[in-house]
Amino acid sequence: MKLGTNPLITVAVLCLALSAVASTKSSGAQGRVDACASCHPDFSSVLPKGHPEVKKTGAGTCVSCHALGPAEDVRKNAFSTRIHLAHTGPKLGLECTACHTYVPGKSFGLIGQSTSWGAPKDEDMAAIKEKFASWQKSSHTDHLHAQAMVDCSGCHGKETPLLDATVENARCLVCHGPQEKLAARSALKEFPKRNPHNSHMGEMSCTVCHQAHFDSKVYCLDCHDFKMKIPGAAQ
Amino acid sequence: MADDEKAVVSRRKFMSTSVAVAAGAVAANQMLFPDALHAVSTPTKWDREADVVIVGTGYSGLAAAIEAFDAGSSVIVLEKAPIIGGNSIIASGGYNAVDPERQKKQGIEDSTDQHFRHTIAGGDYRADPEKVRYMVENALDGVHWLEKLGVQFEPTVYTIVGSLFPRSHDPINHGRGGAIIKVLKAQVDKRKIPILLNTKLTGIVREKPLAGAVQGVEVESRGKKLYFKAKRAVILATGGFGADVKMRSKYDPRLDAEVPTTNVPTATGEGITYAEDEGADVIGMDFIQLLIACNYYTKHYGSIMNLGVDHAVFVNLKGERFVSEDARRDVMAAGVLAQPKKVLLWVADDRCGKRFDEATTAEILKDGYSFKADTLEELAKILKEKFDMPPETFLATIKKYNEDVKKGEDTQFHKQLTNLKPIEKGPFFASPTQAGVHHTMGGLRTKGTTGQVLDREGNLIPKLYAAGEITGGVHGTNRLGGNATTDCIVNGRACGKNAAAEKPWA
Repeated sequence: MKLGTNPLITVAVLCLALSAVASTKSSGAQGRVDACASCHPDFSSVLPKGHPEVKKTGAGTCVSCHALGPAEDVRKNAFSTRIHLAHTGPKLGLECTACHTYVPGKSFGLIGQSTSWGAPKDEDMAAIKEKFASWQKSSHTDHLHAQAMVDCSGCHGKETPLLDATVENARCLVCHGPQEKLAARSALKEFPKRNPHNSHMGEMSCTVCHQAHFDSKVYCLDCHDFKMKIPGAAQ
Repeated sequence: MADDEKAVVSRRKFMSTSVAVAAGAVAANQMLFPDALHAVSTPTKWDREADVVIVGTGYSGLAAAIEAFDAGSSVIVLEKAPIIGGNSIIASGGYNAVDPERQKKQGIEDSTDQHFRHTIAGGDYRADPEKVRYMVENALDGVHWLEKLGVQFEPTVYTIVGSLFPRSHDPINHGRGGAIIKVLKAQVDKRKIPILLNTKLTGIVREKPLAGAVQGVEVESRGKKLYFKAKRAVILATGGFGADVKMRSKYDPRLDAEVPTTNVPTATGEGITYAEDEGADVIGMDFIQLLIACNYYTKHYGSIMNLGVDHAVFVNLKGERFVSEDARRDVMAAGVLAQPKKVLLWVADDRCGKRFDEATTAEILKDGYSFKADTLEELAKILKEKFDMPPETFLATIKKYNEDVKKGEDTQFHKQLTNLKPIEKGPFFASPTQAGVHHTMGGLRTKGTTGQVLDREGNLIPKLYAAGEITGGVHGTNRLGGNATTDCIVNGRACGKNAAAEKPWA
């Protein structure tokens, strides 16, 4: 599934949290020549077990194998997910600009790399920061996707989603489908008619129940008192 | 888009004291709904436009959308819920129409005059005869139209509860209302008519407060106000207010929060209120129907309420009949409200049981919301255990009823002969059921059979149409079972055609 891209708002949706103070927006990049090497002069210490030997240093080394920037297609991205979870998690809590370059409305890239993935504005970055925090650590479906190595672009694609963006069923079904398989998985032996993925309501959006960045809620329960659970529900 | 929405939209909220005082009726309304009065004048910028803007995705809204489109109009359909269908998608889908082709085979003598008389008398002569005549005369054409679109009805008709006569068409395979909605939705999709979900009506745009033509609607979508221009007309197909406790108890104070409802939670009637804010008149608002369809345990889902009434009796917790099973809905509701614990047991034999979707019935039985037994004696035992119903009384009641069937006369409650069928073929079912708010017969006052909304002085509100449960005058005090589907399809279609024939404004 291809999403249209608008160069003005296209941005790497995987950026890290940003400082709200304009003057410090790109200060993290100052005086640093490489997103990785400045903190990890020796890569071998941070590589996962079983990773092939890496002789060089610098972000360029990683991206020669690992895809750089957000993907248009639906896929898991273990590299991006792991690296973002590790660097922004409670241990380190780094800001976006620890690794990324960012000039509001002009560019967004990686320190030491010339690529720019778009030109997010301040409000785009604020929104990304908020949703990213939820993806990083929350009880919502977004964090469940993080645990399954799916980053923002896995659902939203290359384009920066607007705050009221939704995800179409087709995109969900790339991983969770086809619909029949999904329905078979949620079918209850005792109550075969009581299947949220094959109900008397006919075709409906996944997002009626499954919310990525908010509490998910079983819509059936508005009328029925079934015992049904949904991942990402209110805690 | 984001920038557009940030643009300052100048619109008059019509809350100024001077204007409200000038319009006495509106001022009165403002006292009832101080926060809600919301007449909307022309915005500086429209977010989208179409010839016909339809609010609501039940039978009426979708039927109107198809007809308006087929008459050459561009159409946008709005739905406040995240899914389509409103009450229609959970309805029984029974559609009343005099249908010689089907009825003749079953030996049923019927006529549109009779359907008219049943409807008028069943509503205590309070319905508008012109509207009733139009509905019954166009009912069969509506069936054929639906069939042409792809809806399949059973080859026989039946008496849906409270319909008073066997002329109810039933979507095949227990498809119910959902089957009709599914077909209408597919036809809407085929025409590429956009349905915008999560888009809630918040006001109607009229040229001037209480004057001029309706120009479009104001909606809220994901926290943003948007303005949709309707070049030819706006059609309100937003349904009734059965699920809105505040609104329904304003008109019938007995219908407080303790009374359950069969409706979807979105049946909250604000379409009526916004039309009133633009001067629309309403009629029959306190004609609110209760239907014996809510499960005793859940107060909602769980009654096998589509069993039909022929091979069935209703008994109270003492095991006695108290009402004719084919009576008017209001009579049956009043009857059950006078019984112990306000509950009835819908007792039926297998021929009724088969009318309900077997798989769903099985699950309801597993839940313990309704009961099944191979013999009447076993059923009596269950009812004794669950409700302390005296088995001997219960069995005597069934015996007496079956004897009356043989005699060809219901000596107790005068059930019609056509519905007087024995309870003798197991397995037998019992479903504990209560009355819940089901249908609001009142609503917007429309002109004749055009669907055009009238104001309090009887003048047209130009370019504002309404169809379905949002309107008043079609049913009188008590709606016949199966007449709502007919009302929605017939009048939804008419509104769609009439709206498309309006002259567009610039």
